[in-house]
Amino acid sequence: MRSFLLIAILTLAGCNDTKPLPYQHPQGIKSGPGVFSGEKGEFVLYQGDPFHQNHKD
Amino acid sequence: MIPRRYLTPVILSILPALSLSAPLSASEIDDLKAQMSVLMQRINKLEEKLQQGHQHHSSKHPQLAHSTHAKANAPTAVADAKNTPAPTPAEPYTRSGSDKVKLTLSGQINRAILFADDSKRNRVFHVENPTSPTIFQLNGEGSVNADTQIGANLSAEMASNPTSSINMYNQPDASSNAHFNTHSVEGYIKNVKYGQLWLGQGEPASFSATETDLSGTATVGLGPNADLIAGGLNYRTKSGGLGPKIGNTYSGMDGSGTTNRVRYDTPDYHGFSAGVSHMDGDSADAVLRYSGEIHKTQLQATVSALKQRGHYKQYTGMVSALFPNGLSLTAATGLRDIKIRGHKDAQLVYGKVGYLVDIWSLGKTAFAADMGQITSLLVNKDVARTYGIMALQNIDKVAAEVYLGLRWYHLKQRQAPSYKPIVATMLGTRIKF
Repeated sequence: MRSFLLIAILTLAGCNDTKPLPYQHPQGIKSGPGVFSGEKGEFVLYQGDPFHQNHKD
Repeated sequence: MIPRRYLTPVILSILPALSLSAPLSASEIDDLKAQMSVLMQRINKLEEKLQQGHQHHSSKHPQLAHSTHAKANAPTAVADAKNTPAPTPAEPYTRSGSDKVKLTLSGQINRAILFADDSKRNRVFHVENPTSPTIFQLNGEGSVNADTQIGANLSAEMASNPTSSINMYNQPDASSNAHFNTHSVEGYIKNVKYGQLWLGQGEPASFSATETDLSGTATVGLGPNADLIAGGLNYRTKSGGLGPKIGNTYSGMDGSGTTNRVRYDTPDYHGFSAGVSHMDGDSADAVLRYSGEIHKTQLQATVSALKQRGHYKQYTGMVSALFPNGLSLTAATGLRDIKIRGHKDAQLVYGKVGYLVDIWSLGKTAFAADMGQITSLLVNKDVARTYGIMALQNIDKVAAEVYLGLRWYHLKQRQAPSYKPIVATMLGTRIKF
């Protein structure tokens, strides 16, 4: 198991054309838009202005 | 609004009262006159608008006349709209005592029809598909600064007639076989540089250790976790005797389920991340993940270690690759050191081949076939095998998936009569709301 891990890390480290992707969690709530919640996939029940501004940064 | 004909008497009746209360100077009287003049102008304008509104309403019928009238009055209406002050925004339905937080609600349903045949009887069940259960979640999050957020999750699964509790005999009424399970009750703090720390009931680090599946068919075949499809069904002997359940003889060696724990995950570092958790009952786990794209091939890999104190230690490794042409390959292996004297280690091997394609504009279509085997899980040297073929259609416009899966389960035990295979066909849908 250790050698497998080491080989995997070295192989990935040696590749130039790589980019990280978000980890997919198939058992969780389906990713992406929702039929009612729209593009964000969640209903925003409340969002304060300072929170919004912080996330804009 | 006071009609014009009543306005003058009203003003005249107010003026003597004002004059009685205090003597007015000439300049004050002039001011009052000026104010009255402004008021009268505004009243005139309002009356004109009201008259126009009546004309517009009365010309509604016939339809042709209405449209002609509307076109004729369009410039006036635009001008009026410009003069009219902008309406104040509607008050939100939900209000908070703090303006530094965000509260969101999300969820999905996952329901299916399961046709199962245990070689002696067959039956149709209407089930909850637990590969990705029906769930709703409330998330509240507050921002300490641009890099740090503190939040809380409350989520619950609504498992009505889940596949883990079905059987061919004495099947309870589906409505009474409904469970409201707490999925998470947790608080967390996350920082861009330092990672995320959770406290409470929720997913431990190894929760999805053997769910690394890029085939696009995970909703109907969650990697090696094939026991989720029909786990409650019993094998039958050739003479019709009742054997063990699928769920007791086969396991995808996924990590611990949701539990009370403290969990820490590192931030993502070039696609790598790690997590550890300590769970109730003095159990612990650790996981290392990779998720990235290499030469346009998506790759996900996970290795995990789990110690369930007093029960077993478990080690798993899983990798899934999705190539640019839509072909996907997934493999997993696992070893469970069961803490029973004389019990051999249970071993898991699993493989899956998939194909993800854009056939039409509905959304992506995924096909896959898989095979899994686990040995010595329930008793020494027993062999539980499963084979499956599956298809899943995404319907992007309504955030839904429709899936169909056909799966065979086999069990061989050395010191027991041979068991008949179980065949399960699942047709279902997952819809995110």
